[in-house]
Amino acid sequence: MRTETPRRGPGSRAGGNHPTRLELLDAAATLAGSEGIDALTVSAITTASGHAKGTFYVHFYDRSELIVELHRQFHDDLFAAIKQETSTLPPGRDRACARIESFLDGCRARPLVRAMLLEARALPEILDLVDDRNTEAATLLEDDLRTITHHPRETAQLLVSATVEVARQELTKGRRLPRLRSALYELIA
Amino acid sequence: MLDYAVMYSDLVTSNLRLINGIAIHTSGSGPPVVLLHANGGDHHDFDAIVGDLARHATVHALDWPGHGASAAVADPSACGFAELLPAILEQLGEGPFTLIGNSIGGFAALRTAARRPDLVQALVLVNPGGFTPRWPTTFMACRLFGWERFAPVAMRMLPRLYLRRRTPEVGSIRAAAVVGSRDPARVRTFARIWRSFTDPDHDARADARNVDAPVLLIWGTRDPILPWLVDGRRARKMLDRAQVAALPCGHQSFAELPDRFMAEVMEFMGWEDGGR
Repeated sequence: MRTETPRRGPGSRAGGNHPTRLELLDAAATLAGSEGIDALTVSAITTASGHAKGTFYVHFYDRSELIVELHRQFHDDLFAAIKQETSTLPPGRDRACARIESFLDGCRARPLVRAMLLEARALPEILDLVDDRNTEAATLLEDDLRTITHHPRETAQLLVSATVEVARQELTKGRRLPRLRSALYELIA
Repeated sequence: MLDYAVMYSDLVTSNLRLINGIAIHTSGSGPPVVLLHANGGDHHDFDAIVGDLARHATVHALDWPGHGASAAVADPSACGFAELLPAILEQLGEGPFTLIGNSIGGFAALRTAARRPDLVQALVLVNPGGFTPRWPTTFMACRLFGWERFAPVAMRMLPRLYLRRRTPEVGSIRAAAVVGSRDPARVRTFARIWRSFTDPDHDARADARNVDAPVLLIWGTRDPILPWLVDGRRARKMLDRAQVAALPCGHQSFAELPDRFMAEVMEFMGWEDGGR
């Protein structure tokens, strides 16, 4: 990320919540949701949002910064929804399963997920972020697994990878896969 | 300012609540709609239409006791679920509700509309139960599917038998039934509900005459369990003011023909398509 020091030049002149920036992000999310990450070019985004191409560089340094921002927003939104959904449950296996279920259902409800989960993961600028997110998810699950296993952190990491694999397969098949989900939950039975 | 939640998701918020041990999955915003699934299913049965509904309404999809994320009860029955529903609706608040009920859910919705009209704005009944004639074959079927040693087979077999169109959602529902049939608690609930169908009180005809709310009756004409020519005919006769739609599919038209199902519901509810 390029936000450590205030800098001059492209992407530096408008604040994070500038309406134009949000419009660009919105157009990018719609494009990525419908046509995938490859369709996400600066000209396509500016055409879709009705702004001039130069405006894009007022708000973002380059295309990568926008994709990083999309990735961040997507996961913030998804994780907030999961936390809210499972906030009333006590820690334990049931909450772990509820959180995984909530993640998988959340993925199915979000059109942007294909772009984020299948395509963006291969981009070099996203790799570190993916690791961060996996760690965050593992930390969330760790509390629930303490009573089940001697290695809650490691189990949580494996579980996160397995969950993403289930989400990926559900995306590819275009439907919910109850048997795969059931097998996933049985891993922590 | 743009709402990021809207930007990323068609379901504006998704929220799980437990009311008296019953899981309610809420999404969308607008007038409240409650989804009531059939015996052996869960709120995922409605996955094909929840996104579309959530654009127009606050959708509460519940899991009946012993199904999905809800806690089991000692003695689950069709009439018991119907008696449970008004209390849940009262606790949800902000009614009156539009109830969309399938099979046992349709029966519960109809009974609630007849006995607690203050809670119900409109009814959408999808192959509802309670209109089956009390023939010897009915008793035999209920005994067979209610026999706990046969129930796992029935749980796997019935969705294959009564879902007549192969959509992705139907595939998921069938696979979920296979998973459920391996869980003894689920099987027990499934079997007990089947046995409860022979209860003389499991009769929706009197309730059907007492319903004042507008009713949309959607019937899958290829359903072998609640046939259009027997149960469907009786339902139409009792619900003489209802708007009726017969769709060429099985027991769960919202999963088998989601587009046609939604078109009927949109017209009935007077919702605009919004260009989508």
